[in-house]
Amino acid sequence: MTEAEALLRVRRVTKRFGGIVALDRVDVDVYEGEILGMIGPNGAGKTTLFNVVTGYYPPDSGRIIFRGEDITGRPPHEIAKLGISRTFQVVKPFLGLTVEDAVRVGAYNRLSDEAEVERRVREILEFMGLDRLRDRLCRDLNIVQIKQTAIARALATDPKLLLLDEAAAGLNPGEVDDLIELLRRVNREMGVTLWVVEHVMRFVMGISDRIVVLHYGEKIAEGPPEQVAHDPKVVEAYLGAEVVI
Amino acid sequence: MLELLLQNLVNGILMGCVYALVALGLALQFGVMDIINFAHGEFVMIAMYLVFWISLYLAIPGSLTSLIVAPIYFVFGLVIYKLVIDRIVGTYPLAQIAATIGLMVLLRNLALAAWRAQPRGLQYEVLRGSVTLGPVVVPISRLTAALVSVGTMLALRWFLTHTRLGLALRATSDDMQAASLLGINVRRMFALAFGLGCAIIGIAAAFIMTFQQVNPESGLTWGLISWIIVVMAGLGGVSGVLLSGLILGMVEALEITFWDPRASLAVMYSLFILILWVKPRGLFGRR
Amino acid sequence: MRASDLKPIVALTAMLAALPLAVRMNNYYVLLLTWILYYSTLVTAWNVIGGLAGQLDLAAASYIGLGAYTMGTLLTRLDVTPWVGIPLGGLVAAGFAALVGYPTFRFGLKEAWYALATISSVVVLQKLFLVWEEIGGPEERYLPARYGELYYLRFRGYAPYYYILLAVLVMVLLLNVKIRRSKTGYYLLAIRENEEAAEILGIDVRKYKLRALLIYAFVTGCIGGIFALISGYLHPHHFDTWTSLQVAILGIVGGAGVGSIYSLPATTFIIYSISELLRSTLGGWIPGIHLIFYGVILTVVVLLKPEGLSETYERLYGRIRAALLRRRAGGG
Repeated sequence: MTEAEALLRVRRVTKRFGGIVALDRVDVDVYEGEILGMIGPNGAGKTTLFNVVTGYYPPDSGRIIFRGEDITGRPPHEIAKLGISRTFQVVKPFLGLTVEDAVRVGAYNRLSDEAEVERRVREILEFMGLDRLRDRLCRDLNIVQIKQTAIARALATDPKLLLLDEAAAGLNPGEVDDLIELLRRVNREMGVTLWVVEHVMRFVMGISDRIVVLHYGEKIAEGPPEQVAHDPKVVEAYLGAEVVI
Repeated sequence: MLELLLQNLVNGILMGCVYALVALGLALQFGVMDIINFAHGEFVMIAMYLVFWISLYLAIPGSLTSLIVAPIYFVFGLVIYKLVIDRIVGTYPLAQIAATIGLMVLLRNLALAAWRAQPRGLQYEVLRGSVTLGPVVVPISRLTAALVSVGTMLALRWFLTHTRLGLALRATSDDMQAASLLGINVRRMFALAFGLGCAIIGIAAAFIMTFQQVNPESGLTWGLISWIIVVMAGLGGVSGVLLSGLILGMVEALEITFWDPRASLAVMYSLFILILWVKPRGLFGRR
Repeated sequence: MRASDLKPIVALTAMLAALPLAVRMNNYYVLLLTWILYYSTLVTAWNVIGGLAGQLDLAAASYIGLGAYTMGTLLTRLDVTPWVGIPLGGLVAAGFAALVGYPTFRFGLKEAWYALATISSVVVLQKLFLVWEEIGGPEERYLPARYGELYYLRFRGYAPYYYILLAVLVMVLLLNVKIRRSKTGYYLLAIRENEEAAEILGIDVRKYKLRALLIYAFVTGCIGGIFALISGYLHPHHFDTWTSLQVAILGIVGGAGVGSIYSLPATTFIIYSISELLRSTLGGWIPGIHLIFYGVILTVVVLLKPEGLSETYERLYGRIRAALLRRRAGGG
């Protein structure tokens, strides 16, 4: 694939916090329609990269190009308008809102006609299997439902690219399988490109078309899951931590 | 004019040290717990009354009451921490603000009910007179207050950098989770920070009373000054607080020289908004 | 707006309109009711910024003072009717609010700074108006005593003001209901719940907070103009931090943003009445007992029931309703 086809291009992005280099000249391409996985030991800079891409921190240097447009340093709400959404590692739910209202907030991103918003909310709730919880307050949900609502409200914004930060953390194996199934449908049926950060290997290996590996803020490997899993640099990076693959 | 400016600037520098000391307690609590105590100014006001009454009944100079008021206030801080602050750490920011606003309203009006509105000043104080340096007259009381302020700040800095407890406090402030993994009892550090912050208020109040009066409304002014300094200092440590206090003192001196003394709060406030506007992490913040 | 939204407003209006008649226009009670309505309008307006947007605004008295001085100065100096002066006062208040709100609503700035900046603004404006001799100054400036003329909106009794405030309360209630059901309302709630999550759903957090603030400050500035007409003079002590705190306390205790909007006037009615009772009975021995009461109730509610009392009322209301229905069924 050529560079021109990439939906999102991250180019030589560097981010420092005080003396710590969280990201060191990172390059990542995300191609339209794919599911890209990103792994790396704790503190590798995965969440920081997500925060830089979605505008929560400006990078110290480097460029981020989305659909040919330079979005470096733009605030998150503008990035959402352009078609990138995300979920958070620490979930950040709207505790005082009902599931329906949380999704509605997302739907207003592209729609202003109330009837269209209503339709979009209903579609998303059905797609996510959340319709029977629609009037429930988010504060009364369990963790699986809270995570589903977070994905639902992000999907309601009608993104081209969805960033998922540890969506599978805290789920049991059965729930992980359901999540993989759901995200495959999001990818195929809704045409949303996915970029997932994950610790749960069973999840990331099961879902990703390609995987990039970050280690101490640097990209050390990239490729199909089987190839990355056997890359000596990756194995070395994960040594000491339990072998996870 | 030049002499007036010089005189006001010297006053401003001396007051700046005292402002910094008053704000230091708030800055310490903010740094460690990430909570802003809206009742801080009222704590200062109550401490000033305490100084007044102790000085009156024990017939000792106000400056000496610091030795009594500081430990009382340390305990007072622990009690307030247990009763109120401990319940709101880590909850909704709005609930945190609201709870300390409740304290603020309560303390101010209790003071009003107990001591009425008329201002009180010390009847007996040893720190009298002044020294003359060329064109500038320096009141002994203000000079002492400034020296004690700087001394207390140096002592706190030494405590934070050279003792185990102080290092534990700083670790808690830098990264609460990491600190708790290292076996530091975070809640205890919070209580300590709150108690220490209040003890510092006790020292400050004693020396402020040597040259000022107190009334139940004084709290708001001291609160405002402390908030501005904390915003200015960011998380800039003890020296950030001292520098911010000095800047504020000098801004006030210039304002008094060239405009109306009654408007000095307005000028300080504009500074506050300006800093939030252009340097929201403070002038001396590390993060 | 739905018909079901209007029904309670109509019922409340009818009830409040009848109240002065129920106390036979007794001067003391009408005055008391006027102040209750005054604070009810303020708290209901505060709901937009404090309840929906979740920003602890403590500048009510700044907006009231600016509204009062704008209306009053235009009236006394240029003979401009309050009908024009009141909305102009609202605009001045909104302009000032923007100056404080714009820097403090920067994305990612601590919530506490906004509360600090707003409460400080009251103290600062009070001092500035004391120094500003042309407009303010330490002397009271009296409004023209042209009673009974609609052009001047000045009346000898309190009843006309009571009904003016009732009209304002209805408008502010309608405004709240309308915002709550609109895109802006959902966006504000999202911001209150979690700013960071709201941003990536496409919400310009600063813009929407400012929008809520401007609406609130404009309404409060207008109420400030009415306040000056009632009190009959202008003085820097109209910039009173206590008013600001009182509005926020009533809002927090009433559970602004949680549950029904009617909880706010209800809370105002209850707390203001109790505090008046305390003042008139015990105030002689313990000055400021009613203010201490506010401090106690705020601290206790925040520590024990941080979401406020609105749900408590709803439960109580449900129970009373059920009891009444039972009785009716039993009696019939």
